[in-house]
Amino acid sequence: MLEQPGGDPTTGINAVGDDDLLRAVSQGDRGAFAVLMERHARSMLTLATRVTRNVDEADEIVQDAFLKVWKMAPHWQPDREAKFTTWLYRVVLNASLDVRRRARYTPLEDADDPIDANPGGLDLAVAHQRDRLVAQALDDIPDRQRAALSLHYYAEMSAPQAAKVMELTVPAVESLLVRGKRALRSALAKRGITGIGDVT
Amino acid sequence: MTELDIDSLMRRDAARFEVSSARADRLVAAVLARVPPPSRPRRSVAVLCLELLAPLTRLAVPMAAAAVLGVIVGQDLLAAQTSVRFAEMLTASSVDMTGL
Repeated sequence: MLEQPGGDPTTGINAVGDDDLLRAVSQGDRGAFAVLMERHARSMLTLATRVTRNVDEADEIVQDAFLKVWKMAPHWQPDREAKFTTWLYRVVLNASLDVRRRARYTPLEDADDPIDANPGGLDLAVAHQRDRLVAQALDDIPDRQRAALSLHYYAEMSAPQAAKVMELTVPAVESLLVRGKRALRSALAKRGITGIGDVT
Repeated sequence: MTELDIDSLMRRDAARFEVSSARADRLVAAVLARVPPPSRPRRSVAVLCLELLAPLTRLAVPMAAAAVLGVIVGQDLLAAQTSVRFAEMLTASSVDMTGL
């Protein structure tokens, strides 16, 4: 088990960098692997859930990504490879977009929840409708624009951070964001949404 | 729809899918359950054979010694051979020592 000398061991291991944890993971240290996952599981699940809009698919994607981490840890070269989080975001984003691409051909109407007639049910129905329309509109825009928008809105990344994940330059990502927003606006307009009031 | 509207719509959309720490904990546990147990380092065939024979080697020397002793005593070889050997040794050593 990877430990830091002195003090609270929990504090110590939480202060250890990802690369050091990966080094311990490469020697079969399950404790270090658990710490590494605890550090990143929530953000990865958030991105996968927001992109796929499916909890089970998102869980599967993130589990597979972490199992990939376990397998590739012995071969990880911190000096040559990208930052670990950048790599992990890339794996989870690509897998999530793949799932979303496959789901595009599943009619969303089939999966609709029945509208709740109870107080608050209307708000829920509006939110559900907004979710459905945004998902359909995002499905209409080109892949790279959708990836840039996903990192920007769903992973709350700046353009330089998204550029690292997408292996592009910052101006290229900024351009994708501008074009992506424009494409999203016209995809929403095609569905009759021309103002924010239409979906609130 | 303005760019601010798009920002607002997307942020509201993102907020619908929050992840609880309990769900993240469950995922960590599920991954740990799927991780294969650590494999033991591979050993060479020679080391494996030695490990298998190790308990026998402890008995082999006493057993061999007992067998040899049994043959010597059983065939009454000890006295005759010893005297011959002693005679030879004495002769040889006497010649060596005295030069006669």
